Amino acid sequence: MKYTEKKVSVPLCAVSTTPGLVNKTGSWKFAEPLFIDRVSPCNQQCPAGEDITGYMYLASQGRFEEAWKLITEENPFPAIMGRVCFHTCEEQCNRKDHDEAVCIHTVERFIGDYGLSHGLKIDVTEPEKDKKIAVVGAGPGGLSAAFHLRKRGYRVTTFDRHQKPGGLMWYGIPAYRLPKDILDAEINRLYEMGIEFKMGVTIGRDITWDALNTQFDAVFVALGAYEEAGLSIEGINKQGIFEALRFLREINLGKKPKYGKNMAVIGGGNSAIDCARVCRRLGAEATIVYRRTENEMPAHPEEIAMAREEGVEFLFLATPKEVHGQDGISGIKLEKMALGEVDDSGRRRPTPTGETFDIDCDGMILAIGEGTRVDDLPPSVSHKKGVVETDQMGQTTESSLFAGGDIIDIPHTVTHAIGSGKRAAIAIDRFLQGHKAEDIALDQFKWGDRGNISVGLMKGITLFMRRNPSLEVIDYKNMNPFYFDHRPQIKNHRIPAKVRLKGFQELITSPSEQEAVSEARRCFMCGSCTECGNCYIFCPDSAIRRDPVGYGYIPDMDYCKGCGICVNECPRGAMKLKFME
Amino acid sequence: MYSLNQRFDNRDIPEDELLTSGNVACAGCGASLSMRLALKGLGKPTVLAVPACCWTIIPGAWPMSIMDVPFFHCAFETTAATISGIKAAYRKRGMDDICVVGWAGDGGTFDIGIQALSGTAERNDDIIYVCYDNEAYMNTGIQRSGATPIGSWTTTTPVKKPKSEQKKDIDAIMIAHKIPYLATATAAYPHDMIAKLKKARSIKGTRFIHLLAACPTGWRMPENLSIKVMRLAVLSNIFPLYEVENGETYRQTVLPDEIIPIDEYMHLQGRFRHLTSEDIEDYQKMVDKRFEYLKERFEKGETSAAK
Ligand SMILES: Cc1cc2nc3c(=O)[nH]c(=O)nc-3n(C[C@H](O)[C@H](O)[C@H](O)COP(=O)(O)OP(=O)(O)OC[C@H]3O[C@@H](n4cnc5c(N)ncnc54)[C@H](O)[C@@H]3O)c2cc1C
Ligand SMILES: Cc1ncc(C[n+]2csc(CCOP(=O)(O)OP(=O)(O)O)c2C)c(N)n1
Ligand code: SF4
Ligand code: SF4
Ligand SMILES: [Mg+2]
Repeated sequence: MKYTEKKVSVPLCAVSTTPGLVNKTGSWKFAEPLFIDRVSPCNQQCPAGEDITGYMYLASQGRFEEAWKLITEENPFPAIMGRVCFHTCEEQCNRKDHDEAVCIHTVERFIGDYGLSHGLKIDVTEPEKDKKIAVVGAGPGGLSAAFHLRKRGYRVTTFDRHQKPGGLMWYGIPAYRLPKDILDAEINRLYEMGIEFKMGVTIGRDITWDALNTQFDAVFVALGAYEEAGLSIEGINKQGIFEALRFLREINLGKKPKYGKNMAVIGGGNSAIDCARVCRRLGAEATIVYRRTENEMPAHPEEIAMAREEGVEFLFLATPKEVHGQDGISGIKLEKMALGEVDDSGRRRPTPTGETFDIDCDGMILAIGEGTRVDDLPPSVSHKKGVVETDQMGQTTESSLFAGGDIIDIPHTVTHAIGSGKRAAIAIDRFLQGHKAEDIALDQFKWGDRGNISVGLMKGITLFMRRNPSLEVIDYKNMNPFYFDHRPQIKNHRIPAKVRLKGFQELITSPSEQEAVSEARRCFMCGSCTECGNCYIFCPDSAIRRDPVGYGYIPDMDYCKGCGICVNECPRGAMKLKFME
Repeated sequence: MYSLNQRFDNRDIPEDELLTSGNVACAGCGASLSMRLALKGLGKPTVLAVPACCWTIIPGAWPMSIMDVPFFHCAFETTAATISGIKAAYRKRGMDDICVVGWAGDGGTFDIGIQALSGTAERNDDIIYVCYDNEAYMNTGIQRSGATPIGSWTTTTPVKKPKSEQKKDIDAIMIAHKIPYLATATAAYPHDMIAKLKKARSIKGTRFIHLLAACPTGWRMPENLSIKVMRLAVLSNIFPLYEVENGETYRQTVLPDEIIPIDEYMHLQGRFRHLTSEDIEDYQKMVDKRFEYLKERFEKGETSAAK
C-alpha cells in the first residue's frame, strides 16, 4: 500500500503553539503569600534592643566585623555584654522549644573580643552639631547615652565623681567576671570618639545642677543605686562588718579591706553572690545567709551554681538578729524564718518564727539591697521612693533633663541601663530638634510591642534579609521546625573551680572562632529570610522568583494561586498568607 | 548567601525550569509540583508521553502549553507502549541520548495501563515510567482506583461504604519484573526525588518511579498542607522512600529521625475522617506489617552492598 500525501488545512496532529504563560492563574487566588520579616523573640527581649538575629546571621558566615558594627549600632560594649549581661534573650529563644536555646551571649562575646583584637573603631559620621550635652554618671547608662549622642554629632561631656568611668561595671562587678582591661578597652573607644570625660567631679557639690543646666542644652543623668540599706540590730557597729558595695569597691581598687577567715554574707541578690565569691578568692570561707529559699533568690541561677562550685555555703530561711563579739564580730544570732503569703514581688514573704540560733563568723558583709539618692536633683524633677519619674523615652518632668539606669523604673542591670541610655539619647536628639515630647515615642522602630527601639530599624539597615520589616513577633508554633535538625548548645569553657580560687582570673574563657560560627549557625534566624529557597522549591506554580533587589524571593502574583504551601514550608516564619477581601 | 542551619542545603537544586508558570492544576497540587521537580532531575533532552489524567489538563488546553520539553498525549491505557515505540523510533534515527519518559496517574498505571507497562518491563525497554500516584481517578472526579488506600472515601466509595480493598502493591509487581531500577519518591523530599530521577536517567532499561503526589481536592484537605502530608506519609512509614536495583537490592534512602503514628498523617485528610479509632489502630498494624516486610529487604540490601 502506498500513502498519497494530501494537502490539509488542519495539522495532522495538534501541536501547541502558545506559551502557557498566557494563563494568568493568579486571578484564581483568594489569599496571597507575603514575605514579611518578623521580629525574633530574642530581639524583642534584648533590653538594649540589639539585632541578635542580624548578627547571628552575619556571624554564621564569619562576617564578624559587620556583626560588630551591627551590635554597636545599639550597644557600645559587645565584649562587656557577652560577659555580664544576664542574657534573658536566651530564655525567649525559640530554639529552646526545639532542643536548647542558642548560646547568644557566647557568640556576642566572641564578636566583642574580635572587635577589640582587631582594633575596630566607631566612626562618627554625622556632622558636628553645636549643641552641648552633659551626662552625669559614667556608669553603663551614662556611657550609653554619651555614645549615642556623640554618634549623632553632639558635643558630650560626661561627669563622674569617681576616677574611673564604668560605674558599677568598674566598682561593683568583680574582675573574674569582667576583666578590667576589657572594660577599659571598650570604654576607651568612647574617648576616641571625642566624648569628653570630667572625672572626680560630683554634680550638686562641685558643680551645681543649675550651673549645669545653663551651660548645656540638655542633661542626661544616670546616678546609679549606691545607698546601702543598713540593718539596725544590736552590735551592727562592730569591726569586721562591711557594706557590699564598699567591700567590692575596695577589692576592685586593689585594696585589701580587713576581712575575716570565715565570712557571713547577708542577702540573696547578685551582690551577695559576688561578695561571697570574692571572699572565696581571698581564701576565706563564705556562707550566704538568706531569709527566703533558693527559689526566691533574685540572683541569677547560673551565678548561684558557680558560687556553689566554688565552695560557697548557703543558709536559707534565716535573718540576723544580733551581732556577737567584743570589738570585732565573732558570730551572729539568727532567727529562723518561714515562707508565708506571696508578696508584691510575686515571691513568698519570709515570716519570723521567733526561734533563734547562733553561727560563728569573724566577718560579715551586708548585701541587702542598694537604694538610690535623688534628692539632690533639681526640684523640678519629680521622683517617688527614690525612683525618678520619666516617660517611656526617659524624659523627666524637667523637659531638658533626661534620666536612665538604676534611678528610673527599670530592672537594675547593665543592659537595661544601656538600653535606657540609648532611648534617652534618641529622645534628646529629637527634643533638641524641636519635636514635642508626645511624638518622641517611636513605636514603629521597636522590636515588637515589648521591645526596645532599634537604631538599625530607624536607619533602615535591612541587611537585605529584612526587606519588609514588620513588628510581629514570631513564635516556635508558627515556624516549620522539620527543617532544623537537633544539635546541642555550645557550652562555655570555665576554668576549674580550684584554679578560680587562686585569684581574680576571668573564669569563662572565650570560644574559638569555629565554636562561635557553629553556635551562630544553630540560630534559626526566626522571622528573617535567609534565602534557604524552600518557598521557591515547593511552589507548584513556579511562581516564586528571585527578588530583583538581589536578595531573597518574591511571589509572582500573576501566577500564584494562593495555595499557601510556601508559607507553610518556610522554616522560619518569614512569610505570611493574607486572605483577600 | 545562605546560613547552613537547615537540614537540607537547597543550593544544589538546579534553578533551571523546564516548564513555566500558568499551569491549570488546582492550587496546591502535588502532581504539578512533582513534574516541576522531576524535570529538574531529568534535564534535557527528554520527551514525555502522558495519557488521560490530570496531567493532560495541567499544561493548558490546546494550543497552550507550559512545557519546555516535547509532551505527547496518548490514550489512557497506552503509555508504556507509546514510550517503547517513541524510544525505538529515536534509536533508529540515531538519537538514543533522548530520554523517553512515560508520565501517568495511578489509574493509568495500576489499573488500565498495567498490561502495556508489564510488557515494556518484560522486554526491559529503555524507558523511564513515572507514576504520580494521587490514589484515585482525580481528573474525572475522584473515583476509586487500584491505588486508593483501604478505608478511603472517594466519590465511588462513599463514607457509608468506604473502599474495602487493599491498595495494590504496584512496587512489588514491578520489582517482580526484575527491572534495573525502581524508586519511590515524593516532592516533600526534593533532594531525594531529584537524585533518583538523575540516577534513573543514567541507567539503561526499564526504570520505574513511583511518586506519591498529594491531591488537596481529592484528599479533602487545605491546599497549603500538600507538602506536609507528603512528608508525614514518609515519616509515618506508609510511604517509605527507597530504591531497588535489578529487583533485588533494596535500599531505604530517607530514614526518618522518628516514626510518627499513622493517625498524624490520616487525620489531616477528609478522605479518612470517618475512620474510628479502632480502624486507625488496625491501619497502624497494617502499615507496621508492610514496613516490616520492606525492612527485612532493606537490611538484606545493606549486607549485600557491604560485601
Ligand atoms: C555587685 C554587683 C554586680 C552586678 N552584676 C551585674 C551583672 O553581672 N550584670 C548586669 O547586667 N548587672 C549587674 N549589676 C547591676 C548593674 O551594675 C547596674 O544595674 C548598672 O551598673 C546600673 O547602671 P547605671 O548607669 O544606672 O549606674 P552605675 O553603674 O551605678 O553608675 C552610676 C555612676 O554615676 C556616678 N554618680 C552618681 N552620682 C553622681 C553625682 N552626683 N555626680 C557625678 N557622678 C555621680 C557614680 O560614681 C557612678 O559611676 C550588678 C550590680 C552589683 C552591685
Ligand atoms: C479509555 C479511557 N477511559 C476513561 C477515560 C476517562 N478518564 C480521563 S482521565 C481519567 C482518570 C485518570 O486517573 P489517574 O490515572 O489516576 O490520573 P489522575 O487524573 O488522578 O491524575 C479517566 C477515567 C479516558 N480518557 N480514556
Ligand atoms: S533561634 Fe536565633 S533568632 Fe530565633 S530566638 Fe533563638 S537566637 Fe533568636
Ligand atoms: S484534581 Fe488533584 S491531582 Fe488533579 S490537578 Fe487538582 S490537585 Fe492536582
Ligand atoms: Mg490518580
